[in-house]
Amino acid sequence: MNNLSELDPDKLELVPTNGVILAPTTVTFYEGESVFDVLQRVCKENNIHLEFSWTPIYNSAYIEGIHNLYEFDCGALSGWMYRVNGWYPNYGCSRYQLADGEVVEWRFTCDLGEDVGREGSW
Amino acid sequence: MKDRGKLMRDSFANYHPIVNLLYFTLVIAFSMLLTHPVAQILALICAVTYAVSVEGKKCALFLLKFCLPMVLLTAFINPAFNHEGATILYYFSSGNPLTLESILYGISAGAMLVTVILWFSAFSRVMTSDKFIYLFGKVIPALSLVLSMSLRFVPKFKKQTEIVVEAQRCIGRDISTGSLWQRFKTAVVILSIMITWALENAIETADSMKSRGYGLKGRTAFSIYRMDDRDKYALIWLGFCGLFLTAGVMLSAFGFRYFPSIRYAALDMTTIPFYAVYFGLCITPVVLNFGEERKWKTIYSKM
Repeated sequence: MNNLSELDPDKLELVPTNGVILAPTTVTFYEGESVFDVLQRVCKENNIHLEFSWTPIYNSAYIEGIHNLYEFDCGALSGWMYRVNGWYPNYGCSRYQLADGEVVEWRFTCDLGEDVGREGSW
Repeated sequence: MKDRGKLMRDSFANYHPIVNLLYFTLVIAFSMLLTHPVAQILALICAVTYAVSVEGKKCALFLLKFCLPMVLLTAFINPAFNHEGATILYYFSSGNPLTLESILYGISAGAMLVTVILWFSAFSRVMTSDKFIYLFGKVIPALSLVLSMSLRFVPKFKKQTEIVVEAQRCIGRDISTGSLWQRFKTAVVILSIMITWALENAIETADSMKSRGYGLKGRTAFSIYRMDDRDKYALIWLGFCGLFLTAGVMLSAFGFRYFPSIRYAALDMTTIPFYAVYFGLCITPVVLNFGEERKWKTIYSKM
């Protein structure tokens, strides 16, 4: 939210004032489902826009945009990242198999995760 | 005149080349710049009217057979690759959404493509190579020669192909008879002849131009163009349109945004003048042709 000045001006209206597109919700999921599966279902249920592309070499989906906020909309280092229980996995969201009680957050970064609390290097 | 039926003579093409060039620069630039549907429709209408009034049936057929499918095609193809947009209509089996905005954007892009193609076809019809050389021969001689040669290339190549095909038919190499393999062989022979001819022709033209001193200092180009009053008025009008519309673009009178949701400049008293001038600019050649036609008819002897 500190980088609004760099955001594509057409997309300003998309950003909620409190910065939260969907407040934390409890979702049911089925065994063996990945973060991506849950994200896709929740977005459909809540009528939130989502675009992704499948990347075969990582065997995972790449999230291009959520809620019409796209990668690169806020500078070259911006895009969507996911965090489970406070940790940013260093692999794709289709490869993370969820377990009961885990907390998944999708956050928009403007600096490859440095600004949304990612620790350590790649 | 009789054999041309009801077709208009393109008297706009008889204006000074600089008028033609300025007109096409302006309409092509603004057609590509303005994404507001109203402006696009105005430009499309003018481009179609101009083309059909001058070229007639052939052009109308081209529009129906080629341009209409192209608009539909882009309207289908764009949403298949572009999933941006706030209004989700449907989900593809891949999981990505089909959005209203991407369909509308596809239609808009298709319409723009058709408009620009029509402008360019008119451009190549009006801006013949002699006009081109006249305008740029002094400033950029080499480039303008290359440009005019390449612009001339396709029609010349077509014509020469016909000649070669006829000649080959006379010696028994007919591409319309024989087995598939035989026809293919004949076609390859003709293609090889054509390529040799094209290369040789290009070198010959360049040599011939050089031997006539083309591009040397102090040489003048023969021209039949004269800056008349009508050309001056046309230039003033086009210049006014260009400045006025540039101001309109800067004031975002033609603003239109497709993604993420559609927002546009409303049509009201402040923006309508810009659209009116845009229409006036695009329709200029049709109006000029029409006026000339009427003048011609009134002075035509009825005895």
